[in-house]
Parts: sequence; C-alpha cells; structure tokens
Amino acid sequence: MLCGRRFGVTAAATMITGFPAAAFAGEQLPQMDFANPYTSGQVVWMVVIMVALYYSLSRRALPAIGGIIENRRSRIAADLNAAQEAKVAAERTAAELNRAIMTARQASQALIAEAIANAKREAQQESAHLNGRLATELARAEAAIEAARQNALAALPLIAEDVADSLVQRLVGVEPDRRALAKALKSAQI
Amino acid sequence: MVEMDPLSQFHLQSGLGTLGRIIDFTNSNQMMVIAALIVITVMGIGLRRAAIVPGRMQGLAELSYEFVHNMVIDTIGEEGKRFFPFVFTLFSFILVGNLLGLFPYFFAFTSHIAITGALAFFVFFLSLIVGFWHHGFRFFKFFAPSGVPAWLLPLLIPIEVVSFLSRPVSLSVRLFANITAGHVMWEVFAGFMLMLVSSLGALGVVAALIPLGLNIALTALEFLVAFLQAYVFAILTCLYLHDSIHLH
Repeated sequence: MLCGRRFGVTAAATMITGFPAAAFAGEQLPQMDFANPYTSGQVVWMVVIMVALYYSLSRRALPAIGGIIENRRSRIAADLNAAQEAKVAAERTAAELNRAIMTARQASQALIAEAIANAKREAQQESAHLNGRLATELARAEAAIEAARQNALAALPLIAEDVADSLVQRLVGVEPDRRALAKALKSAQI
Repeated sequence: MVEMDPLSQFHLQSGLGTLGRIIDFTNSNQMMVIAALIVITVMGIGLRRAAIVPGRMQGLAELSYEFVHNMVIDTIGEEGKRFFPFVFTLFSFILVGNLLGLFPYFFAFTSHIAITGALAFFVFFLSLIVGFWHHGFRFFKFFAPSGVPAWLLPLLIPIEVVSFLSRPVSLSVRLFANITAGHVMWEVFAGFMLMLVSSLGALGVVAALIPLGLNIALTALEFLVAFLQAYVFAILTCLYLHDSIHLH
C-alpha cells in the first residue's frame, strides 16, 4: 500500500511535468503485463463480441435504419413531386379560367354590340316607317285641304252672285238679271 | 488505508464469477458485452416504431447512422458503402466503450493496448487485403506515387513504407494513450485530494477543492476525448481504406 501511495505521488509529479506514458513505462502498467494471460486473452472474447455486434448491426439494425431513412427521403421526394404537380395543375386551371373569362367577356361584348346595332337598325326602320306614314298622311291631308279650298273657291262666285243679288234687291228693289250679274261679277274678279 | 494506485483500475481480472474463470472471460470483456448491448439496444429501440417523423431514440439511432454513413461515403467514396457496417461497428463499439469507461468503477477496455492494437491491426490488414483485392500487385505503386522524379524514389519509398507500417502503431497507441492518460490523471488528482485531507486536516479539505475542480474540468475534457478518439479511429480507418482503393 505504501509503495502504491508513493507511486501515486511520483506519478502525479511526472504527469504534471512531462509525458504521462513516461511515468508508467515500467512493469507496473497492467496494459503491458503480457505475463497475465488475460491481457491477450481478452482479445479472443472481444473478437467474439465484435463479430456478434457486427452481424446484428449489418444484418438487422443498419439496413432497417437505412430503409427508414430511404423511405422518408422517397416520401419527401414524392410529396414534393405531388406538390409540384398540384401547383402546375392549379396554374393550368387558373390559366384556363382566365381564358374562359376572357372569351366570355369577348362573347358578351360581341353580343352587346350586336344588340346595340340591332336596336339601332330597328329604331331606324321604325322611324323610317313612321316618317313614311306621316308623309303620306301629310300628303293626304294637304290634298284634302287643297280639294276643300278648290271647292270653297268654286263656291265663291255663286255666293258672290247671291250676295250681289240680295244687295241689288235691297238697294234697288228690282230683281237683277242673273246672267248679267254673273257677267258683271266675272269682270269684276281679278 | 486508502487504495491509491492509479494503475489498479486497469488491472484485468476474470469476470462473471466462476464461469468467467473457466472460459477466461475478463472484466474488460464484461464491459464489451455491455457496450455491444447498449449499441444494439439503442439501434433496436430506435427501430421499433420506424416512424416517418422520428422520436428521440429513433433520432439518436438515425443521427449516428447518418453521421457514420456520411463519414464513410465522404472519405472513401461510393465504394465505401461495403465498409459502412464495419466502420459503424468499430465507431460505436469504441465510442460506447470510451463513454462507459468514464463511469467510476467501470472498466475502460479502450485503455488496453492489446485491445486497441488488435483493432488497429485488423484495420491495417483489412486495408492491405482491400488494396491487393482492388489492384493486385500494382498496389505496391502506393509506395511510389506518380509524378515524383525518379532520383527521389530511393528516398521516398522507404519513407512511405515506414509511414505505412507505422499506421497500426499510431492508430492503437493514440487511443490507448488518450484513454489511459485521462483515467490516470483522474485518479492522481483524486489521490491528491485524499493526501491533502489526511495530512493537512481542515486546511487540507480546503486545499483539496483545487484538485476537485481540476477533476471536474477533466471530466468535461474526457467526454470530449471519448468522442474525439472514437471519431479519429473511425475516420483514420476510412482514410486507410480510401488509400487502399484509390491509391492516394
């Protein structure tokens, strides 16, 4: 025990001042004690343990973990792919929608323009028809007026004859000769 | 009397009682079994639900899978896929072994040069076999890189050979020395605390706070080292395999 203690002190001194292996380079280092059969014998059991570890890792654990990681990677890749496809599809649908809106707008504008043109044409036809009717009415009315005037004008000498006849009777008191009266009236007319 | 030998923690004994003595099963092998069971349990629990959105344990399993997988593919290239289970086994075994060794009274099997040496030499011979498998005897061109002037070759080839042969040594000693040094430092500082208390009394209790603080800081460092050394071992394995397949 005393020896061990003294060794500890010297070892510590060497540890602090120099390379540690120098302190234990003697026979006392158990790692270098190859007289102990366990020193090399432990390697045999290590080989057994490491072979068992290697087999359980390489046959079971590592391929399984690699599979999990690969599975996740492909899942993420597939998800990203699906998202990309969905995005493309959404963009295509949006473009189609825009195109549909565009054509609908153009169609509706064409319809509106056609409706306006139709309305204009119909209004024109209507007004033309109306104007025509009005013109014929007007012409007919004018003709009627003209006829009435002609009638009135034709009746005027007779009325003048009657007026002159009655005037002469009142003023003179004789019945004038109708034929001379008409002649006189005729000459008096301008 | 307090046991204060900082090296006794590395002492190998038989584990599993009488049965262990019969089959030469050591206390380090016990920790290896626990480490392997932890690795399998973490991976197994992570797998149980196999959810698209992972939970915590599945996240841990997948994180470690992808960490090592990326390391293997980035370092070796696509041909490295075949070595992924091996590198994963190596990395997880060393990492969990390092972390288990951090617990008091647990055995850090990565602190044994026999263990790290066996692993390093396995990696070394694996890279040799892979090199000859891929290139046949043209693998020796590895030691004479193309584009080097001929007069330099007599100097360069021995250097390349020596650096190639020293690979398993540096690989094993790096891990072994890091883990051993950390664990020894812990016990040395803990021993300081006991010595201060036993020799200086009340003053010693106050003074012992200094090594205590150092040990706390060391714990954080050892966590880093546990991860880092497992990573270094795995990435160097990948690098050696890359060299064997691609010849530089």
